[in-house]
Amino acid sequence: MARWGGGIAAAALVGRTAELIEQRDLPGWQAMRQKAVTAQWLAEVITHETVEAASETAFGELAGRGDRPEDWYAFTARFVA
Amino acid sequence: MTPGVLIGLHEYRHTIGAAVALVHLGLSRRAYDRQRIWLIADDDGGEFALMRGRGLGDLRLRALQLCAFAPLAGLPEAPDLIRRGEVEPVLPAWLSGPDIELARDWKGDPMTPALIVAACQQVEDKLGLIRLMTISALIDGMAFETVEDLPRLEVFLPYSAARQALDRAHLNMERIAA
Repeated sequence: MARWGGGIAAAALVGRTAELIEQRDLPGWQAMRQKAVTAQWLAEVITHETVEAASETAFGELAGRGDRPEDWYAFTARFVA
Repeated sequence: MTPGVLIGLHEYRHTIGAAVALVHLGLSRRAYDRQRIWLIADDDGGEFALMRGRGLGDLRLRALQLCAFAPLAGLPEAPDLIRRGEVEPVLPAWLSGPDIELARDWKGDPMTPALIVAACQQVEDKLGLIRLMTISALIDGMAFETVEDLPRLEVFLPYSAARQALDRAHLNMERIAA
């Protein structure tokens, strides 16, 4: 890993995020909580089947599709088709 | 499938942040397309890094400092909080310890992190949460055996999309400032 020195890690962040969001006295708490709850819900309902189907599209197919942003965004839709 | 997916989301936000930061810092399209990234996430944690070399020079550290702010894209008010100098209390809710250290090392224009986070929000808005979370789920568990296996940055956000997001974020910030 030394080769990659300067990388950033996220261990144990998820639990702390939920805990801090529940403190409710942070700026933007309501929007923060709403988006975090939606993301959490989506993370739970995304199934292995969804990921396997998306994997068949594969990140590799996104390579070289970025000459026009719209093309790239349109192609990412195949991940959830 | 949580928490690996949520950690994947966190790392993907760093990836988007690095992409827009590199474009903002002036990396050429040609050099951008050559960048490979270290991007892993699972239930125990995740990491994102830009590979050394490949034409980055000192841009690498500055881009890492800026992309440390990127997970704040999940907080709609984040760009405003950064602009007002009031972002400190929310940092521990959105950034890991190493993220916070890197973010605090940013010595450039104090408004630039707001621009980077706003540009990340532009990308997230265009992707939508479902695609964002599906991509995050794909990142969860990715593995690489050799340097050549490492994904290219442009796969996760092409130069043109990073440029577009930056331009839109910049325009929005100018409108707010006016």
